[in-house]
Amino acid sequence: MAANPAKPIIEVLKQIVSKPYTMEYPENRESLTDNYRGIEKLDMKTCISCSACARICPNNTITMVDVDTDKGTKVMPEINIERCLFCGLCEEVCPPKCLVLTKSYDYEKYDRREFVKRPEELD
Amino acid sequence: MDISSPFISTYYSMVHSYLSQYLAAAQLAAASVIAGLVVFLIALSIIIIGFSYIFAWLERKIVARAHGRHGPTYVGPFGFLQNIADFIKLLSKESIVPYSAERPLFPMMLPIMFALFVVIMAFIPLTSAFVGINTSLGLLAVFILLSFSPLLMFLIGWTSGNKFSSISAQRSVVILVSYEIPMFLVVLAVAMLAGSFSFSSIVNFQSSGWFLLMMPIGIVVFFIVLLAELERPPFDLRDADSELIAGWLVEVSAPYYLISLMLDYTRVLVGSLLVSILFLGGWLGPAPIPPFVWLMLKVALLTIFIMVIRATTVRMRMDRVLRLGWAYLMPLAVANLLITFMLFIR
Repeated sequence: MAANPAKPIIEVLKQIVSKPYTMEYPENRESLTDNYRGIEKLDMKTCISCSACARICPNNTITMVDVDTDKGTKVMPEINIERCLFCGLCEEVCPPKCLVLTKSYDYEKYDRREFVKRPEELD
Repeated sequence: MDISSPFISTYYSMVHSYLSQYLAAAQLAAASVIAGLVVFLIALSIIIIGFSYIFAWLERKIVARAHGRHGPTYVGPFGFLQNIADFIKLLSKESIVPYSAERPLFPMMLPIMFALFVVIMAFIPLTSAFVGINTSLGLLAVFILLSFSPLLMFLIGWTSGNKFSSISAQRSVVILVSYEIPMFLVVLAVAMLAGSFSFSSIVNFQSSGWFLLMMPIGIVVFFIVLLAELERPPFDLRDADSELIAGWLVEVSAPYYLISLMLDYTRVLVGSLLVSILFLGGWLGPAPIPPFVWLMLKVALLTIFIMVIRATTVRMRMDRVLRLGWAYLMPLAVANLLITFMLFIR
């Protein structure tokens, strides 16, 4: 038997009156640090189709795909978020800084195939 | 006609005076009694369903807060309507009775057990006027009816034809039977002190001082024994989720599961009513608040304490439960009886 049998009950009572640790996810978000790296965002207007992001990616997450723009067909990065390790090398290597990592962390999808993001979806 | 319950007799005389213009004497008496009973049953079912609803919601909320979670939040304000959603879900599911179950018995046992506790509720007064069956042996009647619960509990588990349910039922019987003796000893001390088996006179006797103050050992023993009799944690060996997969409820499906939940909540209501009437002065309290509210206040505090204990403790091992019952609570109950006799009776 514990030394003071009332102690655990008092601890639980304190816990009951204090605020819960968990958050109600879609409405309330965690406050993230400045260097948090989340889902990628691509600015299709400034992308120069250099493929530097695809070459530096350690996981082969990025493949260059054809995209029809108003200036003709260009190659742009298509990212498989499921495979991405959010190292930020693509952001570092991008010459016009058009590929950046945002603070978004909404990864939930119904289908694995939806994790492969076309350039249009990243824009 | 002499009816001992003040609540029923009030409605009896009301209906009687209204119907006497139209009906013959015998029919009139029958109709009036039935009307009084129906009004009582409606009041009782409102109390039982209301308590079960609030208890189910509050338990989920309090246990969640103890874990640092939110609990139900989405359905209604503070998730208060979550139970209605669960109720609809349970009623819309299929009711399956397994082939190995004893056919007429298994579907009958849970409703019978629930009915047993509703009958017990009829014996327990909620105010000095609101009693279903007002007898001078109310205390005895309640504990005699309570002692049927091991048998019914065993039949629920055993007739389902599932080995987990059967083990759970055996555990249940062992705990219920071995904890009944200290409970009876404490109740005996209460009855001895009040000099009566009637709930009303036990409560009236406490107008000078609660029995909580007269026998502090008694209430501690009675409360621990009550947790075991209600099979609440830490004595919930009956539905040990991790070993017996919810034990006696393995084969119980949709509407019967609802009844089993209602049954457990009604048992908690009966238990906290017994503690507050036997030890905490029942409906007695300072005047501006009505007696029924005083009683419900005490019941609410006790049930919240029961929930807090559920969030605090871990499940006890079977041999330790029995050891606690026979080696500690039983001598304490006897000591309580002797001390009460020495100090207040002799």
